[in-house]
Amino acid sequence: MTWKPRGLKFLALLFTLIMLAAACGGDDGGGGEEAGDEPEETTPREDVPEGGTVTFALDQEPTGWNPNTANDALLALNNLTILVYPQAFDISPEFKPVMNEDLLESAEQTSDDPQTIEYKINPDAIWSDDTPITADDFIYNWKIQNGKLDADLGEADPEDPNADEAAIPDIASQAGYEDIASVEGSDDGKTVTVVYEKPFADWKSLFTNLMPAHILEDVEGWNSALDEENIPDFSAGPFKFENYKPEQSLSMVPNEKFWGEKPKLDEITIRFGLEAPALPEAFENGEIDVAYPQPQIDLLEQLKAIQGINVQIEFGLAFEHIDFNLLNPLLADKAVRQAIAYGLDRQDLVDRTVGQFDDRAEVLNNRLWLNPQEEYEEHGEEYQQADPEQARQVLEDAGYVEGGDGIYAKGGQRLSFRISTTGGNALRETTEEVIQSQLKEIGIEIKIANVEGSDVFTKFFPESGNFEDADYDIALFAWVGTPFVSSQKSLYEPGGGQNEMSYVNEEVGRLFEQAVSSTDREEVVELTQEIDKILWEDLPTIPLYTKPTLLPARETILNVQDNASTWGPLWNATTWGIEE
Amino acid sequence: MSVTDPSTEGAPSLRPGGGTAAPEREFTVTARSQGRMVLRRFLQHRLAVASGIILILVVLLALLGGRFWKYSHEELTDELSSPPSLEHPMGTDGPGHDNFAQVLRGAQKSVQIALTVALVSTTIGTLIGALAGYYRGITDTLLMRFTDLLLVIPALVFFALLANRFAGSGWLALSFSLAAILWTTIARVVRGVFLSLREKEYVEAARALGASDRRIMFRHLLPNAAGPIIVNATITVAVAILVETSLSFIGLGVQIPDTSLGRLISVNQQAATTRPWLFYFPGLFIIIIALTVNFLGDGLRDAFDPTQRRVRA
Amino acid sequence: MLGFVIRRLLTSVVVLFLASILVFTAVALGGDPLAELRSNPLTPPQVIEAKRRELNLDKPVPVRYGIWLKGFLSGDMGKDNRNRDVQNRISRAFFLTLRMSVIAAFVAVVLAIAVGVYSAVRQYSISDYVFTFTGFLFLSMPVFWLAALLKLYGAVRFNNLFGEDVTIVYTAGAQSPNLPEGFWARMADYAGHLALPALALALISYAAWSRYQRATMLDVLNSDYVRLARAKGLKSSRVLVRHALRNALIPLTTVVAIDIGAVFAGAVITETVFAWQGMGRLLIQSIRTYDANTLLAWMMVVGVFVILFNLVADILYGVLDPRIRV
Repeated sequence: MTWKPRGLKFLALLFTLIMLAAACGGDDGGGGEEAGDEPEETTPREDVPEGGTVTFALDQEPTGWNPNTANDALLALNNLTILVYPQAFDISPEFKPVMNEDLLESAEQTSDDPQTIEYKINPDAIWSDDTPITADDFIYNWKIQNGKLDADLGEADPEDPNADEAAIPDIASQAGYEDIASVEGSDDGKTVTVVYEKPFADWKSLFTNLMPAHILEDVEGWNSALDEENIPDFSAGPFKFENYKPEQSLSMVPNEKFWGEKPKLDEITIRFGLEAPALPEAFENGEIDVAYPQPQIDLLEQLKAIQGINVQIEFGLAFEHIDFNLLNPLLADKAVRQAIAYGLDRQDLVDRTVGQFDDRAEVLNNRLWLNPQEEYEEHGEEYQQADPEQARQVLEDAGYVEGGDGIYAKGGQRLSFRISTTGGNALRETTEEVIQSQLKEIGIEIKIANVEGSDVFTKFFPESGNFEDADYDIALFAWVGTPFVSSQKSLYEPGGGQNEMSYVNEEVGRLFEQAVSSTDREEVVELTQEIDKILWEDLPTIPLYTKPTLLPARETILNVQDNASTWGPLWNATTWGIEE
Repeated sequence: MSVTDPSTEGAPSLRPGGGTAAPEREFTVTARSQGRMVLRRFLQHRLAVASGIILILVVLLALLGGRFWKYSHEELTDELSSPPSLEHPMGTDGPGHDNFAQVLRGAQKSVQIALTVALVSTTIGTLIGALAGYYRGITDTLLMRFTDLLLVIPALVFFALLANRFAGSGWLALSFSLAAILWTTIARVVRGVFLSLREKEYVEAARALGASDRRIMFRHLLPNAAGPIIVNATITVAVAILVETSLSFIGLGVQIPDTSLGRLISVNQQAATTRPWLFYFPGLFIIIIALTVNFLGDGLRDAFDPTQRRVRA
Repeated sequence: MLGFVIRRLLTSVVVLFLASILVFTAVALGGDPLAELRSNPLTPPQVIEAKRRELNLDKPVPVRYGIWLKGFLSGDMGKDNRNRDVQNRISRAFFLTLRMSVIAAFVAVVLAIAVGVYSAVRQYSISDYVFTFTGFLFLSMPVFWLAALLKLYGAVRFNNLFGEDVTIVYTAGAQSPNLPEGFWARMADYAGHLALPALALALISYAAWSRYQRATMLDVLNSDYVRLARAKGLKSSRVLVRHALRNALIPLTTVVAIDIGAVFAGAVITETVFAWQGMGRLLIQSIRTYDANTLLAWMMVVGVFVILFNLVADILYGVLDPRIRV
């Protein structure tokens, strides 16, 4: 296992997916089961001492400070900005959206047709320059991120190519915002009414990391006012940024203008670029107090061995899966995919990989809902137990004959496939080796053909956008979250932009369409389960396991609790304190 | 590598003028073949001899050991992360590979890489150094500026980009890209020797007798550079193993399904305290190979250039 | 001499120019800087397109090189793929790495001279063998292995010698995030962060130099003038320092000047182990992301550095030994 965060970086870019996923949850924000079986004990607020500094180590470094832009959309940044920028909904450790009571008094769907949401902003909510947070901020964030430029924000001048470029806002996603017909303010800007053109089930995922309209003003401000050298001097959360040393460190100190519950700590010092190998000694030597590293088994053991350090392990929403390139004539044969599914001993795979972190690691049997989520349901029963006999039977029934080299072949074509992933990611490399050895048992040859780092994605998702140019047989990588229909649609629907398997099943496309526009949560869950069952039937892809998250922290720091969603370990930092 | 074999080529050319002309009587009595003298001096260097023997054993183990060991490097056993035992003398790793089989496989690849790099870089370096030193002038300037170019370009860029271009072609591509960078030292050394020797009388004589440039370079000059070339080629073996390790550490080394000792310790870099057998055994192999190669190189240097061993009166 | 320096500088400019073309082409053809962006299902296509134009990826490679060259010649190193200012990043990283390399080179030179001289004077003694062996051992160790062991067994145990909560040497980063007040406290903080990485770098660099120093020292000790000095009855320590060492240092100087570039390069690994945000990290990062502007700026800065030190080495060589015509 190496410490290189490349895999995660890719995942990090997808972070909005999970917000969409979570936003589909119900209103019962507080409910749900703990993801871990031993919930951390929390210390009541009145017993938490005031003061103290906690040093938090991040493996990445920010590239700018607007997490809504594609340029800066790093999970690591989002983990910090949730404490600085206002959020309409937070994501709880149980992967549920919870209304942010600091920002909003209420957020309700007032009409189904057209879908209308009414937000009432907390009258006390202000930016740190004393400007109230109003509907103007909602309007600004919507207009910038809806993918259609509006005259108010400077429409593109078709005559001037330069103006054109300047006017395109850098946004990480336009999902949801593009479906909004209008955002209007009333009641002195303290009530916001959002009307959707097209129903959008996961509306709670929108209006996160709100940017101040009166400071950023236009597209230009959105794109570049918060570049890497310019930390925001405003805040509307419990903390504000201060004292930034590029690529080294950053201070987060209480925002004295914050109207809600104030942090107990004097400061959270963020240190950038501390990757896994640096952590054990830095913890032992007292240089850092909390970290959120990539999972690595030796790291975990090392950290556990350090006195005064407690490591929380959760299972997050990143799931590893293998995808088959259905344009490969052999893989297009369902019998071959079935044989692979029968031949894979996924329990053994888990035991040899993520199972070593924690006994709670499980095989994943659903692609749209993951083990830690309430909606998780096991599908694909017939493939849950490895059955090499059956695998061989399926191949023989389909006319494949075992060759002298122990590999099945038909019409002179051997069942030999390449498997590709991000080279250097040891967990995935091990996964490949195990798959290789398991499939050898059933007469299928697997050759490992990795590409260093995230470059492998150009093999899966070719630059031309045409999947006929995709250069792989079997792809191994992770998607984040059970992206809810609206974002997961493009992964599985016929002709979907992320459907690099070139998988075509019109029924799946139809069900997705239906789920996307439904505002009835029960129905959405039902439809997605239906889709997953079809995916088990067709087997364009096989889910493997969810990845653990590690949260090592000094025992003296109170109330540290993981939130394996995109909110990350600092989500409850206002309740942190240092034991006396 | 016949051009660098000192035992056949060294003797006549060592003494200026001795190449084609018959040696004087008095000298033939005492003059032993230079190859023999080198060998004799080398054998006096006990550490170097011992290193050479150990190195040969390790290399044999690396190249052949895998065939005789009961586990293959691909085999997954049911023992996960078990410490060394009789069954698994170097323990097993997380997915259940026998670590001894892994180390043997890694050593095999590392040795293959190192030898390839040494061979290729020595050949390129000797050729370019010889041309530059012999022809001087514009050829020399062009070739030496070319080596400067390699000095300036961050080698890593090339490793990375070449590695991606040739992804899948594995250790051989890596060896060639390493060699493409490491030949410059040898080129400089050979050039130096050629520059100083080309004006010697015996070269003049050979030229006067109508010997071709090629013949002068390879018959008369190159053998004199044999010592430094052999020494540098030896050292390159150690350098290649260490550079490959560094590359693996930053993720630019060999990729699975290939492996190397460097990859093994990089993958297990955090296991030093938790699963020490995974960190120390491959590391030990690297150090043994690099150390013995370095001692061997030192012994050879002394043997070829005895001035360093002069004992103070 | 002046003519030589000017000629060398001019050829160096040509070399750098050619190198920039080569590296730019290699990076441009190497991979797609937008691969990550593209593989995210949510990135809107117009954003990818805008980014493509911003990075001039829509233009042919020679044109892109021209744009870079024009900017570079007018003192603008441009932005990296993530819209960060390259010049700022490079200069921050450069001075961090320079700090580490200079200290490491200094420590290594001192070690090399001490060990080299001692080994030469006590040739074939037990201590000569021990030093030789140790030197070779460091020479044969993977850098990160040595660095990791230093960190593993050096830092915490060393600090504990001075009491439970004392931190004298640090294991991560170039400085504490919140520097202590006062000049000396701050210097101590820098030094504490510098100690282990510089030591690791010094240990792998000194071995080769000490072997060299030992050899030249032996040469000098066996030279006629030193014998003469001894014969005249000069005190042995005086002969050693005044006559022998002074002359034996000259060749080492040139070797060190040439190798300083290598020390700088060796910092790549050391920086990674000790989580320094220096040139090494910058290089690795920009290679992984096909960041042409950063890579070229990196190459220019380090290239000039290496060329200057090589020039110094050549000049020293020429000055000290007039027989060499460069």
